[in-house]
Amino acid sequence: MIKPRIDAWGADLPEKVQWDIYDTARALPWPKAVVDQLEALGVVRLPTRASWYRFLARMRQADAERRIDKIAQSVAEAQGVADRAGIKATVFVETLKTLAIDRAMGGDDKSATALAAAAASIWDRAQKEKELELKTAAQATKDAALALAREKFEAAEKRLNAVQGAVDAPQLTDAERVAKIKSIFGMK
Amino acid sequence: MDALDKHVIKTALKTLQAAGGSGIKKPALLDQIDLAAGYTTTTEQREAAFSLMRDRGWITFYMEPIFHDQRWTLTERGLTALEGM
Repeated sequence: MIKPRIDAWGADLPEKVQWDIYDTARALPWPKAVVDQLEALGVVRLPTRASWYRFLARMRQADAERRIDKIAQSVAEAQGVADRAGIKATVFVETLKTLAIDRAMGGDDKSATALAAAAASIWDRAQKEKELELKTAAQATKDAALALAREKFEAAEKRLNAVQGAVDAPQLTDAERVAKIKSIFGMK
Repeated sequence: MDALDKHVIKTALKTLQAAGGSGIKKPALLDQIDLAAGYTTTTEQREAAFSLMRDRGWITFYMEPIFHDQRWTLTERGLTALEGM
């Protein structure tokens, strides 16, 4: 790790300003664009070329450390989101973590969290739809059972009416009546 | 191995430790090696650092089941090496 000299350029600036300079000016061509950017950021003491590259080297190493923190944070957040959403599937949780890590490695830890939250919402929605499907299937089974019960009841009613008709028919003899009733009930 | 090499390797191992079982894709790890060096490194230098960790059994890879990517993780030996640095 590069230790900054006490008089190193940029070391006396607030940490946030150092990161702002690093994030905005590092990819710019030396010297004009960098100097313009530094002046826009309100930096008074401009660096020499050598001190600028030493500053960048120091900040790059700090950036590597910062990414480690972001990774740890993103993994924890993805795990937290998965826990809050009640996601049990290990593969899904691990995928969330890998996506969060990939985003954090690209320096985009905010979208890592958003991505995990979005995935959790999708999971929640899918679970609800699955529950709805199960409920619909259960209702269909109930409806079928009810229709069957109704059919049975109507058949029983029909047989009862037929028996009543047989009992009330004056033209039938007792033997014929019994035979008729037996035939209504399917008996021989 | 000089102090900067050690720092670079240590940072790479710490990165893998932070990623845990999920691991990191090789390009991202090489990028992290480049950052940790401070100065822009060549492809050969990055690959050399990566090979050193792989050949010593400090890192290993697995195939991620959803996206089918190779992801590198820290091994027990790697963790021991990191603790010793």
